[in-house]
Amino acid sequence: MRGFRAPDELGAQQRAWAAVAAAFAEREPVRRRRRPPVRATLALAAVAALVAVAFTPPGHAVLTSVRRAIGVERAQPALYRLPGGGRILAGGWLVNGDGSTRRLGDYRETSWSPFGRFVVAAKPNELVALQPDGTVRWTLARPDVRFPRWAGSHTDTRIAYLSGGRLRVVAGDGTGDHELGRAAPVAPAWRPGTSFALAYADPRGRVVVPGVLRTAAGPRPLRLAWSSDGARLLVLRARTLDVYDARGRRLSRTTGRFADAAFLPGTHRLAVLTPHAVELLAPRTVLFRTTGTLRQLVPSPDGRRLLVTWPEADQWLFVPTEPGRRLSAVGNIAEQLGGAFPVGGWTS
Amino acid sequence: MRDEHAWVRAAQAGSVDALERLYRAHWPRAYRAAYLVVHDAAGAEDIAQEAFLAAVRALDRFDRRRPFGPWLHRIVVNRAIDWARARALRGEVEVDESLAGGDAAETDGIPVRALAALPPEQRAVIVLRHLLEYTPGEIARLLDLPRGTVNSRLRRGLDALAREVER
Repeated sequence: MRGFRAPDELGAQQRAWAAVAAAFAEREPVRRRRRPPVRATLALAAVAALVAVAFTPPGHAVLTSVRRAIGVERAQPALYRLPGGGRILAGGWLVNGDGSTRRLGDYRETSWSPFGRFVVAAKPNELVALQPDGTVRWTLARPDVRFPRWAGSHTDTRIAYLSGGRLRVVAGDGTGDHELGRAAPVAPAWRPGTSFALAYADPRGRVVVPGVLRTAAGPRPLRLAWSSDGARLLVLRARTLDVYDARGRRLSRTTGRFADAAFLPGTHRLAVLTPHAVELLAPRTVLFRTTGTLRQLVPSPDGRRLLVTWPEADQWLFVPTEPGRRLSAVGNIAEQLGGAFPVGGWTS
Repeated sequence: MRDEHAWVRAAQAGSVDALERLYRAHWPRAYRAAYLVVHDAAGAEDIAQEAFLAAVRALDRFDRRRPFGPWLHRIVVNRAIDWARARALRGEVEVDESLAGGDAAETDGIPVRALAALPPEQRAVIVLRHLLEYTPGEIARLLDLPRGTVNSRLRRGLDALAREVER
Protein backbone atom coordinates (compact mmCIF):
# COMPACT_ATOMS: atom_id res chain seq x y z
CA MET A 1 0.00 0.00 0.00
CA ARG A 2 3.02 2.29 0.13
CA GLY A 3 2.23 3.71 -3.28
CA PHE A 4 -1.35 4.63 -2.44
CA ARG A 5 -2.38 8.26 -2.80
CA ALA A 6 -5.68 9.61 -1.48
CA PRO A 7 -7.69 12.22 -3.43
CA ASP A 8 -6.50 15.83 -3.31
CA GLU A 9 -3.77 15.15 -0.75
CA LEU A 10 -2.03 18.47 -1.19
CA GLY A 11 -5.22 20.50 -1.05
CA ALA A 12 -6.38 18.69 2.07
CA GLN A 13 -2.95 19.20 3.64
CA GLN A 14 -2.99 22.93 2.96
CA ARG A 15 -6.56 23.40 4.21
CA ALA A 16 -5.93 21.47 7.39
CA TRP A 17 -2.62 23.21 8.08
CA ALA A 18 -4.39 26.56 8.36
CA ALA A 19 -6.60 25.17 11.15
CA VAL A 20 -3.71 23.40 12.90
CA ALA A 21 -1.49 26.49 12.78
CA ALA A 22 -4.32 28.64 14.13
CA ALA A 23 -4.87 26.23 17.02
CA PHE A 24 -1.13 26.17 17.71
CA ALA A 25 -0.98 29.97 17.76
CA GLU A 26 -3.69 30.07 20.40
CA ARG A 27 -2.44 27.31 22.64
CA GLU A 28 -1.11 28.23 26.03
CA PRO A 29 2.04 26.29 26.88
CA VAL A 30 2.11 24.67 30.31
CA ARG A 31 5.34 26.35 31.30
CA ARG A 32 4.83 30.06 31.14
CA ARG A 33 7.25 32.82 31.78
CA ARG A 34 6.71 34.85 34.90
CA ARG A 35 4.68 37.87 34.03
CA PRO A 36 5.11 41.28 35.60
CA PRO A 37 2.33 42.25 38.02
CA VAL A 38 -0.86 43.05 36.12
CA ARG A 39 -1.62 46.32 37.87
CA ALA A 40 1.83 47.72 37.26
CA THR A 41 1.67 46.69 33.61
CA LEU A 42 -1.72 48.31 33.12
CA ALA A 43 -0.64 51.53 34.82
CA LEU A 44 2.51 51.68 32.71
CA ALA A 45 0.55 51.04 29.53
CA ALA A 46 -1.95 53.76 30.39
CA VAL A 47 0.80 56.31 31.03
CA ALA A 48 2.54 55.30 27.80
CA ALA A 49 -0.68 55.64 25.84
CA LEU A 50 -1.39 59.10 27.27
CA VAL A 51 2.11 60.28 26.45
CA ALA A 52 1.81 58.83 22.97
CA VAL A 53 -1.55 60.48 22.36
CA ALA A 54 -0.34 63.81 23.60
CA PHE A 55 3.02 64.12 21.91
CA THR A 56 3.66 61.78 19.00
CA PRO A 57 2.19 61.12 15.53
CA PRO A 58 1.69 57.40 16.29
CA GLY A 59 -0.36 58.62 19.20
CA HIS A 60 -3.01 59.76 16.78
CA ALA A 61 -3.28 56.18 15.56
CA VAL A 62 -3.83 55.01 19.13
CA LEU A 63 -6.50 57.66 19.62
CA THR A 64 -8.17 56.66 16.36
CA SER A 65 -8.28 53.02 17.38
CA VAL A 66 -9.86 53.97 20.71
CA ARG A 67 -12.47 55.98 18.86
CA ARG A 68 -13.06 53.10 16.50
CA ALA A 69 -13.79 50.85 19.45
CA ILE A 70 -16.70 53.10 20.30
CA GLY A 71 -18.05 53.37 16.78
CA VAL A 72 -17.65 55.03 13.42
CA GLU A 73 -17.23 58.77 13.68
CA ARG A 74 -19.84 61.03 12.09
CA ALA A 75 -22.51 58.32 12.25
CA GLN A 76 -26.01 59.56 11.59
CA PRO A 77 -27.84 60.01 14.88
CA ALA A 78 -30.99 58.36 13.50
CA LEU A 79 -32.06 56.01 10.71
CA TYR A 80 -33.35 58.62 8.24
CA ARG A 81 -33.57 56.09 5.42
CA LEU A 82 -32.23 52.69 4.49
CA PRO A 83 -29.30 52.94 2.04
CA GLY A 84 -30.45 50.95 -0.98
CA GLY A 85 -34.06 50.81 0.20
CA GLY A 86 -36.04 47.71 1.08
CA ARG A 87 -37.38 46.68 4.49
CA ILE A 88 -35.54 45.29 7.50
CA LEU A 89 -36.83 43.26 10.43
CA ALA A 90 -35.08 43.68 13.78
CA GLY A 91 -36.68 42.02 16.78
CA GLY A 92 -40.24 43.27 16.98
CA TRP A 93 -39.58 46.23 14.68
CA LEU A 94 -40.01 46.73 10.97
CA VAL A 95 -37.80 49.40 9.39
CA ASN A 96 -38.96 50.75 6.04
CA GLY A 97 -36.79 52.17 3.27
CA ASP A 98 -37.85 55.75 4.03
CA GLY A 99 -36.69 55.39 7.63
CA SER A 100 -40.15 54.96 9.11
CA THR A 101 -40.45 52.21 11.67
CA ARG A 102 -43.36 50.12 12.88
CA ARG A 103 -43.52 48.17 16.10
CA LEU A 104 -44.95 44.75 15.30
CA GLY A 105 -45.05 43.48 18.87
CA ASP A 106 -43.02 42.13 21.69
CA TYR A 107 -41.07 39.53 19.67
CA ARG A 108 -37.54 38.36 20.30
CA GLU A 109 -36.93 37.20 16.72
CA THR A 110 -38.62 37.76 13.39
CA SER A 111 -38.01 36.73 9.79
CA TRP A 112 -39.63 37.23 6.40
CA SER A 113 -41.83 34.88 4.41
CA PRO A 114 -40.31 34.01 0.98
CA PHE A 115 -41.80 37.01 -0.86
CA GLY A 116 -41.83 39.44 2.04
CA ARG A 117 -45.64 39.35 2.33
CA PHE A 118 -45.69 38.00 5.89
CA VAL A 119 -43.54 37.86 8.97
CA VAL A 120 -43.01 34.95 11.32
CA ALA A 121 -42.11 35.87 14.87
CA ALA A 122 -41.01 34.11 18.03
CA LYS A 123 -42.16 34.82 21.54
CA PRO A 124 -40.76 32.75 24.40
CA ASN A 125 -43.76 30.41 24.27
CA GLU A 126 -45.47 31.22 21.00
CA LEU A 127 -44.90 31.12 17.25
CA VAL A 128 -46.76 33.96 15.52
CA ALA A 129 -47.49 34.63 11.83
CA LEU A 130 -48.41 38.21 11.05
CA GLN A 131 -48.72 40.77 8.31
CA PRO A 132 -46.14 43.54 7.99
CA ASP A 133 -48.72 45.98 9.39
CA GLY A 134 -48.71 43.99 12.63
CA THR A 135 -52.01 42.14 12.14
CA VAL A 136 -51.67 38.66 13.62
CA ARG A 137 -52.80 35.86 11.26
CA TRP A 138 -52.36 32.92 13.59
CA THR A 139 -50.44 31.78 16.65
CA LEU A 140 -49.15 28.44 17.87
CA ALA A 141 -48.29 27.88 21.54
CA ARG A 142 -45.02 25.97 21.90
CA PRO A 143 -42.30 26.14 24.59
CA ASP A 144 -39.09 28.10 24.08
CA VAL A 145 -39.64 29.06 20.43
CA ARG A 146 -36.55 30.17 18.52
CA PHE A 147 -35.20 30.70 15.00
CA PRO A 148 -38.40 30.67 12.91
CA ARG A 149 -37.65 30.43 9.19
CA TRP A 150 -40.26 30.53 6.42
CA ALA A 151 -39.91 29.02 2.91
CA GLY A 152 -41.93 27.98 -0.12
CA SER A 153 -43.92 29.25 -3.08
CA HIS A 154 -47.00 31.46 -3.44
CA THR A 155 -49.22 28.43 -2.86
CA ASP A 156 -47.30 26.17 -0.45
CA THR A 157 -45.16 27.48 2.40
CA ARG A 158 -43.65 25.95 5.52
CA ILE A 159 -42.05 27.33 8.63
CA ALA A 160 -39.20 25.58 10.45
CA TYR A 161 -38.43 26.56 14.03
CA LEU A 162 -36.87 25.24 17.20
CA SER A 163 -38.88 24.53 20.32
CA GLY A 164 -37.16 23.25 23.44
CA GLY A 165 -34.20 21.81 21.53
CA ARG A 166 -36.46 20.13 18.92
CA LEU A 167 -36.72 21.05 15.27
CA ARG A 168 -40.33 21.41 14.17
CA VAL A 169 -42.08 22.31 10.91
CA VAL A 170 -45.55 23.81 10.44
CA ALA A 171 -47.42 24.77 7.27
CA GLY A 172 -47.66 28.46 6.42
CA ASP A 173 -51.33 28.50 7.49
CA GLY A 174 -50.44 27.20 10.96
CA THR A 175 -51.61 23.63 10.39
CA GLY A 176 -49.79 20.29 10.45
CA ASP A 177 -47.19 21.17 13.07
CA HIS A 178 -44.82 18.23 13.64
CA GLU A 179 -41.41 17.41 15.05
CA LEU A 180 -38.42 16.44 12.91
CA GLY A 181 -35.94 15.59 15.67
CA ARG A 182 -33.42 17.06 18.08
CA ALA A 183 -31.43 20.04 16.93
CA ALA A 184 -28.66 22.34 18.10
CA PRO A 185 -29.58 25.99 18.76
CA VAL A 186 -28.76 27.20 15.26
CA ALA A 187 -31.19 28.76 12.80
CA PRO A 188 -32.23 26.12 10.24
CA ALA A 189 -31.95 27.14 6.58
CA TRP A 190 -34.42 26.27 3.85
CA ARG A 191 -32.96 25.78 0.40
CA PRO A 192 -34.46 28.50 -1.84
CA GLY A 193 -37.18 27.23 -4.14
CA THR A 194 -39.93 24.73 -3.63
CA SER A 195 -37.91 21.60 -2.80
CA PHE A 196 -38.30 22.17 0.96
CA ALA A 197 -34.79 20.87 1.60
CA LEU A 198 -33.87 21.98 5.10
CA ALA A 199 -30.35 22.30 6.51
CA TYR A 200 -30.06 22.10 10.29
CA ALA A 201 -27.51 21.16 12.94
CA ASP A 202 -28.04 18.22 15.26
CA PRO A 203 -26.95 18.28 18.93
CA ARG A 204 -23.51 16.86 18.06
CA GLY A 205 -22.81 19.70 15.66
CA ARG A 206 -23.42 17.63 12.54
CA VAL A 207 -25.06 19.54 9.71
CA VAL A 208 -27.85 17.59 8.09
CA VAL A 209 -29.75 18.04 4.86
CA PRO A 210 -31.92 14.91 4.78
CA GLY A 211 -30.97 12.65 1.88
CA VAL A 212 -28.14 14.94 0.80
CA LEU A 213 -25.64 15.76 3.52
CA ARG A 214 -24.60 14.70 6.99
CA THR A 215 -21.25 16.15 8.07
CA ALA A 216 -18.99 14.78 10.76
CA ALA A 217 -19.66 15.90 14.33
CA GLY A 218 -17.92 19.13 15.25
CA PRO A 219 -18.23 22.46 16.99
CA ARG A 220 -21.74 23.90 16.87
CA PRO A 221 -22.28 25.87 13.66
CA LEU A 222 -22.93 29.59 13.96
CA ARG A 223 -24.70 30.00 10.64
CA LEU A 224 -26.20 27.85 7.91
CA ALA A 225 -27.13 29.65 4.70
CA TRP A 226 -27.87 28.77 1.08
CA SER A 227 -26.91 30.81 -1.94
CA SER A 228 -29.94 32.45 -3.56
CA ASP A 229 -29.97 29.84 -6.38
CA GLY A 230 -29.86 26.97 -3.86
CA ALA A 231 -26.66 25.55 -5.41
CA ARG A 232 -24.35 26.23 -2.45
CA LEU A 233 -24.67 25.79 1.30
CA LEU A 234 -22.35 27.52 3.73
CA VAL A 235 -21.65 26.04 7.13
CA LEU A 236 -19.99 28.54 9.41
CA ARG A 237 -18.30 27.49 12.63
CA ALA A 238 -16.15 29.70 14.86
CA ARG A 239 -12.97 28.51 13.12
CA THR A 240 -14.05 27.15 9.76
CA LEU A 241 -16.23 28.15 6.85
CA ASP A 242 -17.20 25.21 4.64
CA VAL A 243 -19.08 25.43 1.36
CA TYR A 244 -20.99 22.44 0.00
CA ASP A 245 -22.68 21.93 -3.33
CA ALA A 246 -26.29 20.81 -3.72
CA ARG A 247 -25.18 17.15 -3.72
CA GLY A 248 -23.53 17.51 -0.34
CA ARG A 249 -19.93 17.56 -1.56
CA ARG A 250 -17.63 19.95 0.22
CA LEU A 251 -16.15 22.42 -2.24
CA SER A 252 -13.98 24.53 0.02
CA ARG A 253 -12.88 25.13 3.58
CA THR A 254 -11.67 28.51 4.82
CA THR A 255 -10.15 28.79 8.27
CA GLY A 256 -9.94 31.78 10.56
CA ARG A 257 -12.00 33.41 13.28
CA PHE A 258 -15.53 34.07 12.16
CA ALA A 259 -18.63 35.73 13.58
CA ASP A 260 -21.01 35.54 10.62
CA ALA A 261 -21.13 34.88 6.87
CA ALA A 262 -23.52 35.08 3.94
CA PHE A 263 -23.61 34.65 0.18
CA LEU A 264 -24.07 37.86 -1.78
CA PRO A 265 -27.53 37.51 -3.39
CA GLY A 266 -27.40 36.31 -7.00
CA THR A 267 -23.81 35.09 -6.66
CA HIS A 268 -21.72 32.42 -4.96
CA ARG A 269 -19.40 35.05 -3.49
CA LEU A 270 -19.04 34.98 0.26
CA ALA A 271 -19.12 37.90 2.64
CA VAL A 272 -17.68 37.09 6.05
CA LEU A 273 -17.61 38.86 9.35
CA THR A 274 -14.65 38.27 11.60
CA PRO A 275 -14.88 39.78 15.07
CA HIS A 276 -13.13 42.92 13.85
CA ALA A 277 -13.55 43.08 10.07
CA VAL A 278 -15.93 42.75 7.15
CA GLU A 279 -14.46 40.88 4.18
CA LEU A 280 -15.35 39.40 0.82
CA LEU A 281 -13.68 36.14 -0.20
CA ALA A 282 -12.28 34.89 -3.52
CA PRO A 283 -10.53 37.22 -3.91
CA ARG A 284 -10.19 38.31 -0.31
CA THR A 285 -11.07 41.96 0.07
CA VAL A 286 -11.24 43.73 3.40
CA LEU A 287 -14.16 46.16 3.32
CA PHE A 288 -14.00 47.48 6.88
CA ARG A 289 -11.81 46.92 9.90
CA THR A 290 -12.14 48.05 13.50
CA THR A 291 -10.91 47.32 17.00
CA GLY A 292 -14.50 46.90 18.15
CA THR A 293 -16.51 43.66 18.06
CA LEU A 294 -18.92 43.21 15.17
CA ARG A 295 -21.89 40.87 15.59
CA GLN A 296 -24.03 40.17 12.53
CA LEU A 297 -23.90 40.55 8.75
CA VAL A 298 -26.96 40.76 6.49
CA PRO A 299 -26.68 41.46 2.72
CA SER A 300 -29.07 43.88 1.07
CA PRO A 301 -31.48 42.33 -1.47
CA ASP A 302 -29.35 43.55 -4.39
CA GLY A 303 -26.08 42.48 -2.72
CA ARG A 304 -24.56 45.95 -3.04
CA ARG A 305 -24.45 46.61 0.69
CA LEU A 306 -23.91 44.67 3.87
CA LEU A 307 -25.72 45.61 7.05
CA VAL A 308 -23.29 44.98 9.90
CA THR A 309 -24.45 45.28 13.48
CA TRP A 310 -22.10 46.63 16.11
CA PRO A 311 -23.92 46.40 19.45
CA GLU A 312 -21.18 47.76 21.70
CA ALA A 313 -21.07 50.94 19.60
CA ASP A 314 -24.88 50.92 19.29
CA GLN A 315 -24.47 51.31 15.53
CA TRP A 316 -25.56 49.74 12.26
CA LEU A 317 -23.04 50.01 9.45
CA PHE A 318 -24.01 49.89 5.80
CA VAL A 319 -20.86 48.63 4.10
CA PRO A 320 -20.74 48.85 0.28
CA THR A 321 -19.54 45.70 -1.51
CA GLU A 322 -18.45 47.62 -4.59
CA PRO A 323 -15.53 50.05 -4.80
CA GLY A 324 -16.24 53.75 -4.97
CA ARG A 325 -19.18 53.80 -2.57
CA ARG A 326 -19.01 55.25 0.91
CA LEU A 327 -19.70 53.38 4.09
CA SER A 328 -22.49 54.90 6.15
CA ALA A 329 -23.24 54.37 9.82
CA VAL A 330 -26.29 54.97 11.97
CA GLY A 331 -26.11 55.36 15.73
CA ASN A 332 -28.57 55.14 18.62
CA ILE A 333 -30.05 51.89 17.31
CA ALA A 334 -31.11 50.59 20.72
CA GLU A 335 -32.99 53.82 21.48
CA GLN A 336 -34.79 53.76 18.13
CA LEU A 337 -35.68 50.07 18.12
CA GLY A 338 -36.07 49.45 21.84
CA GLY A 339 -32.96 47.26 22.09
CA ALA A 340 -30.17 45.70 20.06
CA PHE A 341 -32.15 42.89 18.48
CA PRO A 342 -30.84 40.46 15.90
CA VAL A 343 -31.67 41.50 12.35
CA GLY A 344 -34.21 39.05 10.97
CA GLY A 345 -33.74 39.84 7.31
CA TRP A 346 -33.57 42.53 4.65
CA THR A 347 -36.09 42.17 1.85
CA SER A 348 -36.98 44.30 -1.17
CA MET B 1 13.61 9.87 14.22
CA ARG B 2 16.19 12.18 15.78
CA ASP B 3 14.74 15.02 13.71
CA GLU B 4 11.29 14.14 14.96
CA HIS B 5 12.31 14.34 18.62
CA ALA B 6 13.90 17.73 17.92
CA TRP B 7 10.75 18.97 16.16
CA VAL B 8 8.55 17.86 19.04
CA ARG B 9 10.83 19.56 21.55
CA ALA B 10 10.93 22.77 19.50
CA ALA B 11 7.18 22.72 18.94
CA GLN B 12 6.64 22.33 22.68
CA ALA B 13 8.80 25.42 23.10
CA GLY B 14 6.54 27.30 20.69
CA SER B 15 8.22 26.90 17.29
CA VAL B 16 5.60 26.94 14.54
CA ASP B 17 8.32 25.99 12.06
CA ALA B 18 8.99 22.78 13.97
CA LEU B 19 5.29 22.02 14.16
CA GLU B 20 4.99 22.51 10.42
CA ARG B 21 7.85 20.08 9.78
CA LEU B 22 6.17 17.56 12.03
CA TYR B 23 2.87 18.16 10.26
CA ARG B 24 4.30 17.82 6.76
CA ALA B 25 6.11 14.63 7.73
CA HIS B 26 3.00 12.98 9.13
CA TRP B 27 0.00 14.45 7.28
CA PRO B 28 0.12 12.28 4.12
CA ARG B 29 0.12 8.94 5.94
CA ALA B 30 -2.46 10.09 8.48
CA TYR B 31 -4.79 11.32 5.72
CA ARG B 32 -4.28 8.20 3.58
CA ALA B 33 -4.93 5.92 6.54
CA ALA B 34 -8.13 7.78 7.39
CA TYR B 35 -9.22 7.71 3.76
CA LEU B 36 -8.68 3.96 3.39
CA VAL B 37 -10.80 3.33 6.47
CA VAL B 38 -13.66 5.74 5.74
CA HIS B 39 -13.51 5.98 1.91
CA ASP B 40 -14.69 9.58 2.00
CA ALA B 41 -12.25 12.38 1.20
CA ALA B 42 -14.02 15.08 3.23
CA GLY B 43 -14.46 12.72 6.16
CA ALA B 44 -10.79 11.69 6.01
CA GLU B 45 -9.71 15.32 5.91
CA ASP B 46 -11.82 16.09 8.97
CA ILE B 47 -10.48 13.06 10.83
CA ALA B 48 -6.83 13.79 10.05
CA GLN B 49 -7.30 17.46 10.88
CA GLU B 50 -9.01 16.66 14.18
CA ALA B 51 -6.20 14.25 15.03
CA PHE B 52 -3.61 16.98 14.51
CA LEU B 53 -5.70 19.46 16.49
CA ALA B 54 -5.86 16.91 19.32
CA ALA B 55 -2.11 16.51 19.05
CA VAL B 56 -1.60 20.28 19.28
CA ARG B 57 -3.87 20.47 22.33
CA ALA B 58 -1.94 17.67 24.04
CA LEU B 59 1.51 18.72 22.84
CA ASP B 60 2.71 19.96 26.22
CA ARG B 61 1.86 16.64 27.85
CA PHE B 62 3.50 14.55 25.13
CA ASP B 63 6.42 12.38 26.26
CA ARG B 64 9.28 13.43 23.98
CA ARG B 65 10.99 10.06 24.27
CA ARG B 66 8.11 8.33 22.50
CA PRO B 67 7.68 8.39 18.71
CA PHE B 68 5.05 10.82 17.47
CA GLY B 69 3.71 8.68 14.62
CA PRO B 70 2.07 5.86 16.59
CA TRP B 71 0.47 8.36 18.94
CA LEU B 72 -1.06 10.22 16.01
CA HIS B 73 -2.05 7.07 14.11
CA ARG B 74 -3.85 5.71 17.15
CA ILE B 75 -6.06 8.83 17.19
CA VAL B 76 -6.59 8.76 13.42
CA VAL B 77 -7.52 5.10 13.15
CA ASN B 78 -9.81 5.05 16.18
CA ARG B 79 -11.66 8.12 14.94
CA ALA B 80 -11.88 6.67 11.46
CA ILE B 81 -13.39 3.44 12.80
CA ASP B 82 -15.96 5.45 14.81
CA TRP B 83 -16.76 7.55 11.76
CA ALA B 84 -17.22 4.50 9.48
CA ARG B 85 -19.37 2.70 12.06
CA ALA B 86 -21.59 5.76 12.48
CA ARG B 87 -22.00 6.04 8.74
CA ALA B 88 -22.86 2.35 8.43
CA LEU B 89 -25.52 2.79 11.12
CA ARG B 90 -27.04 5.57 9.07
CA GLY B 91 -27.07 3.27 6.04
CA GLU B 92 -25.07 5.60 3.83
CA VAL B 93 -23.25 4.28 0.79
CA GLU B 94 -19.50 4.08 1.30
CA VAL B 95 -18.18 4.87 -2.15
CA ASP B 96 -16.41 8.17 -2.51
CA GLU B 97 -17.14 10.16 -5.66
CA SER B 98 -13.50 10.03 -6.68
CA LEU B 99 -13.79 6.25 -7.00
CA ALA B 100 -17.24 6.13 -8.42
CA GLY B 101 -16.29 6.08 -12.08
CA GLY B 102 -13.49 4.97 -14.37
CA ASP B 103 -10.73 2.64 -13.29
CA ALA B 104 -10.82 1.55 -9.69
CA ALA B 105 -7.81 2.69 -7.69
CA GLU B 106 -5.41 -0.04 -6.64
CA THR B 107 -2.74 -0.15 -4.01
CA ASP B 108 -0.20 -2.98 -4.21
CA GLY B 109 -2.76 -5.14 -5.92
CA ILE B 110 -5.44 -4.47 -3.30
CA PRO B 111 -8.36 -2.74 -4.99
CA VAL B 112 -9.51 0.17 -2.87
CA ARG B 113 -13.08 -0.72 -3.73
CA ALA B 114 -12.56 -4.22 -2.33
CA LEU B 115 -11.18 -2.72 0.87
CA ALA B 116 -14.34 -0.64 1.18
CA ALA B 117 -16.40 -3.84 1.30
CA LEU B 118 -14.77 -4.93 4.58
CA PRO B 119 -16.01 -3.97 8.05
CA PRO B 120 -14.19 -0.89 9.36
CA GLU B 121 -12.38 -2.86 12.08
CA GLN B 122 -10.80 -5.16 9.45
CA ARG B 123 -9.98 -2.21 7.20
CA ALA B 124 -8.23 -0.52 10.11
CA VAL B 125 -5.90 -3.40 10.90
CA ILE B 126 -5.08 -3.93 7.20
CA VAL B 127 -4.28 -0.23 6.83
CA LEU B 128 -2.15 -0.24 9.98
CA ARG B 129 -0.30 -3.35 8.79
CA HIS B 130 0.13 -2.67 5.09
CA LEU B 131 0.06 1.15 4.77
CA LEU B 132 1.58 2.23 8.06
CA GLU B 133 3.65 -0.97 8.41
CA TYR B 134 3.09 -1.73 12.07
CA THR B 135 3.63 -5.25 13.34
CA PRO B 136 0.60 -7.14 14.70
CA GLY B 137 1.96 -6.61 18.22
CA GLU B 138 2.22 -2.86 17.68
CA ILE B 139 -1.29 -2.78 16.21
CA ALA B 140 -2.61 -4.63 19.25
CA ARG B 141 -1.09 -1.99 21.52
CA LEU B 142 -2.33 0.90 19.34
CA LEU B 143 -5.92 -0.33 19.30
CA ASP B 144 -5.97 -1.84 22.80
CA LEU B 145 -6.79 -5.27 21.38
CA PRO B 146 -5.50 -8.76 22.14
CA ARG B 147 -2.89 -9.79 19.63
CA GLY B 148 -4.98 -12.79 18.63
CA THR B 149 -7.84 -10.49 17.68
CA VAL B 150 -5.54 -8.43 15.49
CA ASN B 151 -4.24 -11.57 13.77
CA SER B 152 -7.72 -12.94 13.16
CA ARG B 153 -8.97 -9.61 11.77
CA LEU B 154 -5.97 -9.44 9.48
CA ARG B 155 -6.48 -13.01 8.28
CA ARG B 156 -10.20 -12.63 7.73
CA GLY B 157 -9.76 -9.28 6.06
CA LEU B 158 -7.07 -10.48 3.67
CA ASP B 159 -9.08 -13.61 2.85
CA ALA B 160 -12.10 -11.46 2.03
CA LEU B 161 -9.94 -9.19 -0.11
CA ALA B 162 -8.56 -12.21 -1.99
CA ARG B 163 -12.09 -13.36 -2.73
CA GLU B 164 -12.98 -9.87 -3.97
CA VAL B 165 -9.92 -9.76 -6.22
CA GLU B 166 -10.70 -13.19 -7.71
CA ARG B 167 -14.22 -12.13 -8.71
